Amino acid sequence: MLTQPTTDKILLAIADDLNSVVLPSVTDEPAKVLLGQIDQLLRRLSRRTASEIDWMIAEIKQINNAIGRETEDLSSYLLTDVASAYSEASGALGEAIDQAFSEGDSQQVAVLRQLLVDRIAKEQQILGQLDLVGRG
Amino acid sequence: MQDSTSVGRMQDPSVMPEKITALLDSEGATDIDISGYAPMTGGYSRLMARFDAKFTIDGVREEGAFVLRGDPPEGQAIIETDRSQEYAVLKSVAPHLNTPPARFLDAEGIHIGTPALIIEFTEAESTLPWIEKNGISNLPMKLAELAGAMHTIPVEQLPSSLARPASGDPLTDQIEMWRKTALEHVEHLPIFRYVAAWLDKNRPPPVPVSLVHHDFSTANMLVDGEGDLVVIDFELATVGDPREDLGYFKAYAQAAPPDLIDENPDDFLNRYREITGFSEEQVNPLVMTYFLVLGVIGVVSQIANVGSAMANGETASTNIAFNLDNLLFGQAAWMAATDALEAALDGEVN
Repeated sequence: MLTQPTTDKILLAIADDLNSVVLPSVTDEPAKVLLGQIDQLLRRLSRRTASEIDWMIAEIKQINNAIGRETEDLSSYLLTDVASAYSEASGALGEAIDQAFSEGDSQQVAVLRQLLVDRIAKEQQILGQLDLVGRG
Repeated sequence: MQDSTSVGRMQDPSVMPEKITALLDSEGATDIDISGYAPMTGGYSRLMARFDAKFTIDGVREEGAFVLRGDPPEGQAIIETDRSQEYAVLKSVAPHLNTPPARFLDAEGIHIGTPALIIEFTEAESTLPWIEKNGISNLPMKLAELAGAMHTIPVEQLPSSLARPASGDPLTDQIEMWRKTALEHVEHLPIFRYVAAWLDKNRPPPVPVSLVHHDFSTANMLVDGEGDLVVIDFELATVGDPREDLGYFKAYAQAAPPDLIDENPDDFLNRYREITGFSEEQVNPLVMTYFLVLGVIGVVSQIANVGSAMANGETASTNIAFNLDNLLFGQAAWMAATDALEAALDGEVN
């Protein structure tokens, strides 16, 4: 299997070509909007694909530490399996949030909130500059 | 099979004039001439096109520009709404608001090929480009008056088909929608759970229910020749807490500035309260921040739902993925707003 250039670099190259070569030759307005959306998505996917498995595994551990669960080793590093484990941990985090609010445990609310703030920081790295292309 | 791209069948100028003619004919129009059909951009949820029309209806000869607004091909919509309801809402708000009148409806898509309505075209400019050329001008006051006018339309004059709060309390309904969206999405959404719990804990005093636009933003406003705001796109309208629209406006403005309310919040709120009769306790900057979070769930839940459908292989489009991805921006904005409000509330207590 050829791993270089890595997926993130290829996605970025596709976005650059779409933007510099394809877009200037397109005159149809709906198609231009679509290309604008594709450009942003490809750039986000480029950032996401480079790190998402590592980010999810690290966050699963952080969530488990915060809510007092053991972190089990993953049986597979396939994206779909890691995403499934991440969602399960996110569900447990959601339950813990509901419990902390209902018990008025402001200290635990603050701890769990910090996990969400850390998650958002990573999401912002993925998002980059938002442009609601074609809207309004 | 329907065309799956954004340049689908309703965007085809070679076939649409004949379809529009059939619709107008079915409504009793005669001597119909359709020309200049051209697709429009400007919205993500529905397909739109502008055309010129001449026809006679009810013995009156009419000539002008119109907009056809129809559902995208099946499975491509990022938001599922009802053209019949949108048509009924437009009819009911027309006497009260500066909005293009609705003229014809093809509820089942018998003539157009997709459920669609025809509204009059308004000679007006999109708000953000207008601001770039002309500055803010007196748009904040116009916005307060537009919101005030919309939120004081007598509820009994709105279509009975318009959704009302099922619990009897719009805040309870909206908070429940946050929870429901978190639980029903294809993956767990702990930020949504946090937001729901936080909103529940920090409820502001109630106000009477009214029409809520639910996508009240500069994207759905135009500026006409007199410098007045024209409000469009009532597809998400319901009866609910009117402050949701103020919060939604602020939330959208964070993604697409400027925030007209922030130009002078006191002046804006004074004018809005003057029109609606709401008290300072009911509508103030802190309450608007609360609704900045609460008010987006109508749109957000629809985007999340269709995102789940795409993840489950039931549909797929760039538009769906793009809008789902944009929730990342929303999540950061909601958490920042809860943080700011928490700090402000702590300050008040201390």
